[in-house]
Amino acid sequence: MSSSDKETTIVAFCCIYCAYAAADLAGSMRLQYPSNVRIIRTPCTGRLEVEYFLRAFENGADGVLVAGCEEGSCHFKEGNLIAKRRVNYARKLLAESGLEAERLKMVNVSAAGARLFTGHVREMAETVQRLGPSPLNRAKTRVQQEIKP
Amino acid sequence: MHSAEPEKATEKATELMKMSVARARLLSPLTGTSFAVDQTGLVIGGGVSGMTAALALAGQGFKVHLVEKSDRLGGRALDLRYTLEHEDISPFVAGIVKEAEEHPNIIFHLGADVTNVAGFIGQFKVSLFQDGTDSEVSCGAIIVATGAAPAATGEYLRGKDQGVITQLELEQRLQKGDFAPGRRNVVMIQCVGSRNEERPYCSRICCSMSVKNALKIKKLDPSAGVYVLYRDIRTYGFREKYYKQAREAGVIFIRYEPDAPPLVSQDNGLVVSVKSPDFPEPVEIETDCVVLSTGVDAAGDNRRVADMLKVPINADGFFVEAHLKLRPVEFATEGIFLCGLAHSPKHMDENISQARAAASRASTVLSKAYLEVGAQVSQVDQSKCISCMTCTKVCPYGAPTVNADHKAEIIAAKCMGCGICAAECPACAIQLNHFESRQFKDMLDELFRSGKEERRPAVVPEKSGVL
Repeated sequence: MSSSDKETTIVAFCCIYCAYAAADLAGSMRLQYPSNVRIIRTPCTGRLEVEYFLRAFENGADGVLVAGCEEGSCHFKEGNLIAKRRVNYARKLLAESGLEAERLKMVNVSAAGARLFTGHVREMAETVQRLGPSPLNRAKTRVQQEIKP
Repeated sequence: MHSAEPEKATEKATELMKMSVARARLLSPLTGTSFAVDQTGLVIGGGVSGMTAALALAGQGFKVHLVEKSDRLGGRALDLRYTLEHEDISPFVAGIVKEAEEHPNIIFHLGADVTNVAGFIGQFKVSLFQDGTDSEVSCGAIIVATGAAPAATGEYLRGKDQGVITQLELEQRLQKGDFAPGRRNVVMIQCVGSRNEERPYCSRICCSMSVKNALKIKKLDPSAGVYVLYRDIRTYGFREKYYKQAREAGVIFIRYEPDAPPLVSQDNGLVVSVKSPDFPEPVEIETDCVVLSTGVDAAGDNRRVADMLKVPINADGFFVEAHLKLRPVEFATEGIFLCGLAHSPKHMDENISQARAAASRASTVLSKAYLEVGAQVSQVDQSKCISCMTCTKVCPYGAPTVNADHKAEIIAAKCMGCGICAAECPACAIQLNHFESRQFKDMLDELFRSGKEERRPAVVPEKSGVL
């Protein structure tokens, strides 16, 4: 099995006030976007700890998106700016540990930005495709293990 | 969203469900604190929508602040004269203005601007700027009814030839009686500056408006030639009847394609030439009156209002509701509602229905003396607190304080539940209720759990929600 056969997974942490609503709107609008994204709702991107991003990669995520409100319009004033700082820090940690920093990305989407949101997911899916699955990705073996008796 | 790959979509749904179940195992019952609701409404915008909403609330016994930017009530309806159903609009508008003005529960702020909005559902503080002075009013719910504006255009010799007018101007002239059709033709052009790159949406009302004015001309002078150049006629719902009536009355509808719009020239009087996919040759119409249907523009102030209220507007500048179908007249931010043209272009009857719906939703807030919120707040495990003061520095609301024991404590009424402190606390002493660290981590673990690993045993929810 070549590494490119592996199923990839993107974890998207979405702020309930913007990106989560945008993802919901994308559904209402029936926009097509990569199906390997798994959305985790957060009250604000400012809630997210660096540990969560690292945990996702440790478990085998191939890409992590942190989607918060547009800068200046955070529901909690500055949660998204704090998240940006943490994401930038986590990217350094990723690079130091040998993973590509591009696998982790902070994006800003408004609640009406359904197309923008799906665009960001698509972009991350392309990044993951270009970089190949993460060395920590166990997804394909997981599926096979489940099939075997 | 993934209609092309149903198996993958099911897999996604299954995994999302697994993650939610993993999180649900760790949820614990929360009890919130209650706070008093200021049982007063505030409506931004004194047009038909705003007045309808204000009257609906006032009629239920709530005090309502009605804030209008201009010094006159009525909004865009003041420009309109009659409806498609041949009803006079002016007496209706005058009636609703009179009713609002005489209502003891409505407090008017005419010529006032909203300059700041603070607080939250049940306890908003709205700053107003009126007659050169600042003031502040309190309210429990806000209805946004800021309206819209007719789009301006310079196309089709608009502004260069007096014979080129807009549908609104035509309507006003028809009502005043100084529009004499007769002899020559009237040509109406639809979708002017609409449904293009600059303004991609359909303004919804212009087709009906043309049909309305075309019928009026035909009624005044059945021999007048009325041509409507259109892309698609959208006289939706029961309005279709009037489109049929217009065709029966002899109004000629000519379709044009967006890449070949009609041409208006003024060499020997106004001449409109149009190439229709329905005719083999271009058609030339001599006329002395070209009427443009220019569509609806979002109010220029929307961006500023949206920023103050922290509610979204779309790329076209209209406000966006929380959910198209499930929460159509409210914003995701609790306690703020919307109606009228501020939301999207629509007919007056639709605006009135929406205004009543918004008032009805707002009254679900205002009818309560107390609201219970604040269950989703941060909590400090004081045995872990190292008194570093980080939480007091990062909180945007000043909710954490240090108590007499030198331990952090969070004032629930001030906490908005963002979780910034919980993520920042170096001692992991703070948890945000309902969004605890272990819940996030378990979701991430469950997503990537292989089939062979053992399931975790069920847990009994802890009372505090703190790890």
